[in-house]
Amino acid sequence: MTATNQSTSGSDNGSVTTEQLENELTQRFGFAHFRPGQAPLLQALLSGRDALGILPTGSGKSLLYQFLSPHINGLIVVVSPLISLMADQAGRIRRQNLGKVAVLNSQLTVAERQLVLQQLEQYRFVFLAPETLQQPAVQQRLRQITVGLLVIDEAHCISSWGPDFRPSYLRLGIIRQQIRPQRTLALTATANRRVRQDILKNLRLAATTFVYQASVDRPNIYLRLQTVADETSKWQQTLMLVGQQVPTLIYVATRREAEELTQRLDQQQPGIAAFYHAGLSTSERNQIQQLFLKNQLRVVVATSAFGMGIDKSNLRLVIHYQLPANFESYLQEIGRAGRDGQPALAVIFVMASDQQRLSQRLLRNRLTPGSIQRFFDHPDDPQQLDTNQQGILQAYRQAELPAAQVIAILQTTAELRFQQWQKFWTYLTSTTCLRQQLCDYFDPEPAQLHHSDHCCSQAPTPSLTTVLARLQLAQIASAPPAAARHLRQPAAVLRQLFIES
Amino acid sequence: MQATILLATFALEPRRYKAIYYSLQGKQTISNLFASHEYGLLDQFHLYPKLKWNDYQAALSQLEKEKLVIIDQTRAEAKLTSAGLVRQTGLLAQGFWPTAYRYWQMGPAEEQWERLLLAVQVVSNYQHQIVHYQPLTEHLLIQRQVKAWLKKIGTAGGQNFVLELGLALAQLPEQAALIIANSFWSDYDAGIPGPTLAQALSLTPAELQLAQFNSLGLLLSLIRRETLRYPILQQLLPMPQTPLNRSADWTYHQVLTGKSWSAIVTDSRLKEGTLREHLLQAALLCPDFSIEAPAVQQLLKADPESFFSQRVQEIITARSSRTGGEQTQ
Repeated sequence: MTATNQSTSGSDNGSVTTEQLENELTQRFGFAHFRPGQAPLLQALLSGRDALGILPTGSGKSLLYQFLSPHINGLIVVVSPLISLMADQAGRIRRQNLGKVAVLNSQLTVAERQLVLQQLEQYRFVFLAPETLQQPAVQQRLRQITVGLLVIDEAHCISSWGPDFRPSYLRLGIIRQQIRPQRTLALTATANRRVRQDILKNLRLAATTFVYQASVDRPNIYLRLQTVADETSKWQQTLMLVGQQVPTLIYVATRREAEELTQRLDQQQPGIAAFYHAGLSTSERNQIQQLFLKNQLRVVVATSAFGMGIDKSNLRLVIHYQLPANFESYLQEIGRAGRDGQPALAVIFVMASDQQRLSQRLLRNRLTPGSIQRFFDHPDDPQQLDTNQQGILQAYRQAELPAAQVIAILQTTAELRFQQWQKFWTYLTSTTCLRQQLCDYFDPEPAQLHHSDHCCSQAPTPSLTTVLARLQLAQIASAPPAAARHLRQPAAVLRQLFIES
Repeated sequence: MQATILLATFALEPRRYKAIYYSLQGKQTISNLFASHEYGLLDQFHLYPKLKWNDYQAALSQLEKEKLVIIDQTRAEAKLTSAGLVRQTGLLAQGFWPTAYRYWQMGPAEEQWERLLLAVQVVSNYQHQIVHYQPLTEHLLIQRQVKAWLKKIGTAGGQNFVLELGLALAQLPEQAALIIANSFWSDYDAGIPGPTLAQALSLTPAELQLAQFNSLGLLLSLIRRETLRYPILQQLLPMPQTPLNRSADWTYHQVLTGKSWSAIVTDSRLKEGTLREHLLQAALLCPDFSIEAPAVQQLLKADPESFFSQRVQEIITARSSRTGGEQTQ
């Protein structure tokens, strides 16, 4: 863990003691203790300082602004990059009855958006996408009211050195100065030194900003590299893992793969799995979350859209059926496992052909200087650009950056992404302690870890069977066998849903 | 989008694929309405309001690659191949294409569907004393409408809602009732996830959505037909009074009062061309369009060869042939 004041002139952590905070935590949230980093960040914010929290997945980042709600005057504005993430977080606030919450994003109709803006003072929390925050009407409305806390979630998106760089985050620093929040809290799960500097600089945070960076190490998650020769072998080993009968999350790369793998699993054991991706409606996503949280669904096959903000504490097994895009995504996704602190297993399948396939994909997705220039010259003509590429360039145009600068930025980020991918591939083919490698990559001051049998391993030795026998995951939290979900007769559905008079 | 679904919108004769896109998206221009009418897609208007041009194009390209359609880029038209026709026939035989859902009479399908599902969630949660939860739709207006509906029907109304639902489901065709009931869920009973439901019905998730709209169409027809039996469902799922927008409705209303065309033009202060478009919309969208109204007759007689006269005659003839030669009243 590293906690720093950006400046020696920064005040101390205020007058609220950890004990006082913990008392409130118990009363309001039912937890006895804070997770690492929460208390110092809260103390800094309560003393009126801005803060940057770099806390691993599952460390309770959203609790920070939820906790602060009764302590600050004015609206809590949370900028969040994903619609599904906003919906999840807003849903959690509603379920916990922490205050009135609104979500402002592109999914609202014009009338709905106007309604929210008109009644903005009535809300306690407002979630919005960075693109929405760029709209003059939204900014104007925010300037008219008191913003008690501005939260920039997934703040690493602001850094072109980060893997998830979003051009729409670029103007957040200027906007922040215009809406003048009483405090700002930037949050991310992953940020190396460079990304951290970018966050502070681009958000125009003062030198007094309090920074807390926790270690990424999660000793309760056993890391496993599983090299496989082909798809058949991968499928068979997946079946073996799924046969452990524990709550399981399987990550795949695309929506189609999520649907296909679910179908295959379902053929093996009907009703065991459901897929989850951004193509599902809010209602469908909520329903799958409900089933998964209530242990009525044992396996979810998901794209990276799953998980942000979803706190399923007893998730025992995370499988990367396909490789994530980079180290950062991997770290975030394995972090969904074992949030209850109990042992969990993260298996990532690696095939020799992955290297070439993913390298080529990176190269294919690169925007050439010519196509960038053409887009800036003729923004209405999408040429051969895919939707994602158009979105990126559109965001740069809206950020009013000149074409030459965009070309330079995108060339740099493309090279960076390639380097990051190569580093990740080195990890995926390594033979040394995986946990140590993760800490070395992410932690500013990595500790020397003690490698043991309960830490991590690479195939073939020990075998996956041995690892599973050692971990005994099913004994920790076996999921009840998911009820096969056959169609029910309408009358039976109504009897189940409603109380008969 | 699932490319094969598009097969349902094409035929062996070439069709303007942009017009089909705009029709599915619900872009309301006279030209799109006519194309939808010509292609028999008026009821499916606004079926995919969020459809992006790139996704539509990609789906069309996929169909072309699979040799199911032939695309003529120069004329911006596409037609089914014989393999495409076979595939289309097979798909339509699955019964998911929403022929029972009539957009102009029933309103946007997605909104009606979310209203129904949200009402089930809210009443179920309320009965089981689940107070804090995430509504299954993020649409604020739908949330407000359901809240207002709940307030109106009161606590006892919740139980009557359940009774009406049970009654309606029992009256619907078995498949439609199964689809609707198994789509319900609340925080008390999380139900069956959509993909699992789709699989149980041998449909893809995208096809299931259309099957849900089709079943909803049957439900809405039922509650509209039997108004006295389903007062609470009717309040929950209000259907548009008229398929016309406000200004077209005004114009058509003037026509129905028997006013002369010149009087309507004077009163409206709109261009004549705009008013004629309003009447064309009414002719297309109102099944009981009054061709005998004096203003309409005046226009038809004034210039039988005009665009307006020709189109109105086409619409009436097409409608008459569909109803066995009898004029729909």
